[in-house]
Amino acid sequence: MTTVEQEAVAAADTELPRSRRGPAFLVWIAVAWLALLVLAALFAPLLPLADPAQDVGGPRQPPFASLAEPLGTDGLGRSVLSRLVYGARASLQVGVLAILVGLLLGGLIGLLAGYFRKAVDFVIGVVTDALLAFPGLVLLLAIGAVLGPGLPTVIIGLAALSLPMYVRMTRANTLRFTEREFVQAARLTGAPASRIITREILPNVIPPLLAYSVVVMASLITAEAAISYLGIGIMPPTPSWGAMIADGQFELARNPQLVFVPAVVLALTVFAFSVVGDWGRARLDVGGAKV
Amino acid sequence: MGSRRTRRLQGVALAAAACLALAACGGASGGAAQGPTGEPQPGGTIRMLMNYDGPDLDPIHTTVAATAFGNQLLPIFDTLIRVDAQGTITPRIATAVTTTDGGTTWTVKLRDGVKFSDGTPFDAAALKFNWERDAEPESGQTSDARQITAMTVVDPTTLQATLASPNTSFPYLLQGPIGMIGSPTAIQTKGDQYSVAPVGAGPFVLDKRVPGSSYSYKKNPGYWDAPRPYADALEIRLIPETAQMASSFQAGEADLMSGPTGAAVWRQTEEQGTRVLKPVTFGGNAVWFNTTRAPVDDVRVRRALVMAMDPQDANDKADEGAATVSDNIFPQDSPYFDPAARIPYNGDLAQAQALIDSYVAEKGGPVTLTWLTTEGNNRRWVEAYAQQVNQKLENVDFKVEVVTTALALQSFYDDSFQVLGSSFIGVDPVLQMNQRLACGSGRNNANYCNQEVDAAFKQALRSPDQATRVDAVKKAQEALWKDVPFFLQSRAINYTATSENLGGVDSFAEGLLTLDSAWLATP
Repeated sequence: MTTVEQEAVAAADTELPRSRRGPAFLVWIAVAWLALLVLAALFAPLLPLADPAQDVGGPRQPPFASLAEPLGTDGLGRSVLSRLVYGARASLQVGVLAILVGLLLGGLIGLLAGYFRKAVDFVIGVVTDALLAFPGLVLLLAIGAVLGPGLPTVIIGLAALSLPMYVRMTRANTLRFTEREFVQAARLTGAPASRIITREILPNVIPPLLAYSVVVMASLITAEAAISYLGIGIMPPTPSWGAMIADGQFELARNPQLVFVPAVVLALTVFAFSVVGDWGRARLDVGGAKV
Repeated sequence: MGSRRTRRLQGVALAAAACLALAACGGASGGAAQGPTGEPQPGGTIRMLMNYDGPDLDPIHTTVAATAFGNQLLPIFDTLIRVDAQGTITPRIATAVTTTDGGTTWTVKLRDGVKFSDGTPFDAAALKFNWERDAEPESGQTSDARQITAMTVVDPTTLQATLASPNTSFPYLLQGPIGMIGSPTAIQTKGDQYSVAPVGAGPFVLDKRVPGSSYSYKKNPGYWDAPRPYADALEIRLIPETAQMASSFQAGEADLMSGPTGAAVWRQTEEQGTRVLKPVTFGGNAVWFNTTRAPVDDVRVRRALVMAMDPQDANDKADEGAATVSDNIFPQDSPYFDPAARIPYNGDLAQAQALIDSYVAEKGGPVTLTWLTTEGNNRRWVEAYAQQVNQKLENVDFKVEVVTTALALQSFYDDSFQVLGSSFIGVDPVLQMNQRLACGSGRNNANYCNQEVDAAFKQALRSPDQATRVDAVKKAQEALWKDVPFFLQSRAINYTATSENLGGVDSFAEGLLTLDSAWLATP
């Protein structure tokens, strides 16, 4: 461990009490919920769940009425539990892919902007600001209109949404480290820029980015639900939480469970990601003030 | 039951002999609640809610159906004739449409003194001008208009039209697009602008249209059927989702609403004591197989898919059971109803699977196909049917793709679709079925071709005799349900609800509205 890394850890240590002020049990509940969700999504085909596209015994069965279908069935007689689990698969898959694209591409661009500054930074800054200023939903609708509905549209749209956030985040963190002594020292020894970026700066920039990703995940899941709700997301009969809410909306007065069950799961998941993300950000000292 | 139908048949046959009318179109039944009674009151603005919008306002570009664009165009143009609930023809701007030679030469007699809203005369020359325009290549009405091979203006109110071949259903066309006549002066002077600001002889004049959003009309003071229209103005607001439209209506934001059936909201509206007009016609929401595209070019696949479908189950899922479904394209009280002419729903699954297996053995599998649908209520129906097929048949992957209306229409016209819905309704089954199913017909989007069916319709079109027509339709159906070029998703047409404040509105044909006679009790 280099001295600088030790310094970073020490800095993080001094921040610890701040995160401890938050109710730790909430973090544990959130982690448990997310772990359950991820495991269920990963092992969905192995679980004793009905096929999410098949009618399992008539439409609109209420939740908590039968053991076989604890969450009831939707308008097409499909198992709500099964669709939630498979929907989690779609949501998480889309979120992770979009974050990976944002992280890799946005991270690279941010690193270049933060390290080289001047014209490179200016151009990247203008483009990023423009992207950030553009309303997210309008951007998604525009991408949907051009590419047509489907999984690629969702991933491209969400990646486009997360990209500028990552650029900013990486650039800010890069700036922070570029002026530090160990980077200056590496420069003085004549190390090439590529080596300084990959060996000195990158390892310090990655941890906060990863913590940030958890928060981004929460907003991407909401965005995915929104575009699936608007009908330009994942195509039927592949389940998606947003589409499940959309399917039930016009029966809200008569069959509220069709909307409430997926909405509650969506809300819980977004909340859990936010809680875990905030906790991680506090631990890793990437408060907004320092960005 | 049997004797009732026989009596009905006789009654219809008499009516048909007298006026060439066909009673495939039942009456519009109202709910218990009625509108105001007494003398119509003048004045006020009628506010209406609707679902659909169309391409532009020139009748040569559109279909004139309640389910498409008809109720926006009727106030501007009116029609030459109207077909009432009993299937008889009522004169409108045309006072008589007659033939003396069994359907080849037709004489259209126009009402004297009718003027377009720009003051120019609505005479035989104007009618001839419009029909010539309907037959031009850029027109969408060529399949109607090109039946006419020659026209003679006998006098200012009389036009004689000669058809290429006898068509005893010709008068029914005059309620459709070629029955909506525009001012020749306006058409010539306005050019492209005509489709934005059309000029007809209807009860209202278009004031402003915001495409996809609203229509405002003002009263046409020179309307031929004075003192109609009673209202000073008509406002139409478009709300694409039926449930939202119903909420606005219930909140008192409109005097009437008109939209596709099903969607449970109509049942709810009626339960609240509102008058709901429910026209009954043959057909309904039909779904077409493109018979020239694999895999639905193969009758085995088409048959197997339909055999695996269960309309009642789809109704329960898509519309909470509120829609009407049927395995017969004619309602039971229609003279054309034939209990043997069944769409092969709910067939033997082993047999259906055997059909798929034999197709796969020959051409490879799995059988993959896509059903295009638009967002909204229709999507739920499509998903329900596709789910049934995927669940009941092995080696079939029936996909659902949600597209815009424009894309769906485009795939219909450029033949790229495999399975697509398009309403199949009308007042005369012979005419409608011939247009949609005859080999090479411009509106035969399924590209279906069966000589037996063609021959049956050709015979029916030559005959004014009801029994011959019934027999021809029966023969055509025998072949049709072996080939299964389409099936009925639901018998959902177009319903209309009217408030207690609105009188004088009835529906005719498949849900067109008599807005000319509408009036408000408290304007």
